[in-house]
Amino acid sequence: MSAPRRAVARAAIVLAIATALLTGCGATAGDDFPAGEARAVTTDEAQLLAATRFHNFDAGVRTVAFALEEGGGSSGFTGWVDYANGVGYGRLATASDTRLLLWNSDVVGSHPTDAATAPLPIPDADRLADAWTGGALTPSESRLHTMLVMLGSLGADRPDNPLLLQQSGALWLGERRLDGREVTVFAGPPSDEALPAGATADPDAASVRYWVDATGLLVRLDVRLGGGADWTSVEFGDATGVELGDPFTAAEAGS
Amino acid sequence: MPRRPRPHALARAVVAAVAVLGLLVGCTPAAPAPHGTGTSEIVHVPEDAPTISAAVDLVAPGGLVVVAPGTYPEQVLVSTPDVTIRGLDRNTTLIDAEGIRPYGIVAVADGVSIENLTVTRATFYGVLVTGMHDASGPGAHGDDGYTRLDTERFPPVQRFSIDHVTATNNGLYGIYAFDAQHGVIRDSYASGSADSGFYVGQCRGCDILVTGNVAENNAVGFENANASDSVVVVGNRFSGNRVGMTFLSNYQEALSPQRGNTVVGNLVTGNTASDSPAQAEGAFGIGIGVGAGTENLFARNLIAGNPSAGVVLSSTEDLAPVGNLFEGNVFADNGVDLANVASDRAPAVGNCLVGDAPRTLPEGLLEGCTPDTRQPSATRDTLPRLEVPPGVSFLRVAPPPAQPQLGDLDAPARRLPDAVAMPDIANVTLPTAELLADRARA
Repeated sequence: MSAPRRAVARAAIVLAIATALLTGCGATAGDDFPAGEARAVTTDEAQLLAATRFHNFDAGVRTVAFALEEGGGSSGFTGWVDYANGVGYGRLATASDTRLLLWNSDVVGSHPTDAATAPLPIPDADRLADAWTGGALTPSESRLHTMLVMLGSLGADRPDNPLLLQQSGALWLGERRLDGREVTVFAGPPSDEALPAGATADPDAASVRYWVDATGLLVRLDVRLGGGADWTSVEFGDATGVELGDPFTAAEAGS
Repeated sequence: MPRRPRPHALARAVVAAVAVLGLLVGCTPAAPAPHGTGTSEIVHVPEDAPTISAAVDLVAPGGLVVVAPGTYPEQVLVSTPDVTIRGLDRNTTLIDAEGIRPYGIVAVADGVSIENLTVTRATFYGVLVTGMHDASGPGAHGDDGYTRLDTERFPPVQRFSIDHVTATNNGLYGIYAFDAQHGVIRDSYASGSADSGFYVGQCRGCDILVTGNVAENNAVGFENANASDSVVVVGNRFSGNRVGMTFLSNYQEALSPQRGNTVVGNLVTGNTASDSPAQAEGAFGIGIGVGAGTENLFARNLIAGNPSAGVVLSSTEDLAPVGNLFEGNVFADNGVDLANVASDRAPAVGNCLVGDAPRTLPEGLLEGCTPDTRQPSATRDTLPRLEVPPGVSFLRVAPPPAQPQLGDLDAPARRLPDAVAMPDIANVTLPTAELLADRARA
């Protein structure tokens, strides 16, 4: 049956479009990954990269944290994404306020908080209609929305196609140590279209970098947003024992 | 805040072959005809070679690789003809892809036998027999890509045997024959597959026998896409999946439409497994999905306890379910027994029933089955509504019970016959609910 493979392709397309919309041209690779060292991924590397979205799903819940520059201000987010349920939740702190965010692939809600970290269980999860405010999740609207969509798209109930990753231009950028773990850093393919035979992707044009450990687990994601050359990094971690559930479906069932 | 749109799972809960993406062939030249360079008649693992792959390099065409119990974290490609790979203990000789590697064992040469071992945790397929392979490795449906199978460039691999193989917790397919002819999948077991436990795809004049197998806790137990003519599916237990069996035609792969299978004496019951990966389109509680399958014979199968539908006929683009014959099946305790949700564009025609009249959707579905009479159809959303449990990671579906061993572990290697010895279908009887129950979960 075909749908998951289509869904995977679709997710990649959405991601590519979202990043294309918000990514300028001509940015240069960070100094930490000299473009001259980048090369096409090997079969083994493509297989590792292809399994990363599945391993998020397999893990269920991952911790996520990122700092974002937008509109002249900065914000910091710390929370979780539940890849089994397709739900994200956490605390966003900006210069002016702190609030809780709860989102899925379609909508994002906001809830006031004065807590130093996002409380669990999710407050007012059974009162989405009146205790939370929000609306459609629109990647073209802001860097934050793009980031939330991107985080949500990083789970899939089966692996991506490693051959497709190779043919569409995924790159090996380097090996690094991160928090005591050996990780391989990849540039995602510029789109889901196959490159011409013999061509390799331009490492300077990469807009997503995946930091993947030897078990296929994503430990960090770097993304270029909003047409800038700067990278925004998301740190992923284990979230043993955390369950977000799916308040959206629960609300639907209760209505 | 707004709630998300209502999920369409129920609307999608009918098996339909929509837009399977094509095959990845790429631009690399076809590999030269497979041939072995090894010279050993028998290679023992680990005594003579530390890994199965190393043993395959050593074995001569027509030779035997004997694998001791143990866990083998490797990916085995068999390109030497007429080789037998045999585990000494089916339950403890494990090829483990560790949730990272795409396949466990792939045969691209003619005449390969794989028997008495377990293949687990492959991200794509546990066991694959395929005629499609090139410098970038083996290929099959499941590899999203751009180009359909070129049947002239990649002629079907000939003669294969998969016997007493257990395939568990594999990402797409457990045991998979693609672009292959003249083979047998026998007395094997598959669970925890995110697509299907067993799969036969893209062949004509296939001459493939699927018999004595158990598939459970898969998204789909047995799947056929564009595999036609002499595919004989007899005496299997395809129960306790989300969907028991599917017979699919689509344009995105070569050799459409699917036609002419013989499906007799199978147990297709209780396809309501919650400890299983989600089916691609959210299907659940369905016995047999015929997605534009044509001219198949379904006889003396026990199709029961599938709360959505026993059988669902549907169409794909302009491909219609046509000319399927249901004869002497027993339907019981299904949501509806036989449903037709084919589209106006590709309406069901000439699907006939012989034997007890089941409850159909719509009523009167089977009153006219002449070749020129369009059969009445219902919409998918009129099928019984079910609560579909969330899908489980294919790596986390519980392991199966121990499976029986191959009879003669000392048998010499053999050349497989050019044509499969098919069972006498007339002698295949309706199974009871106990068919192969000793190999299934409680």
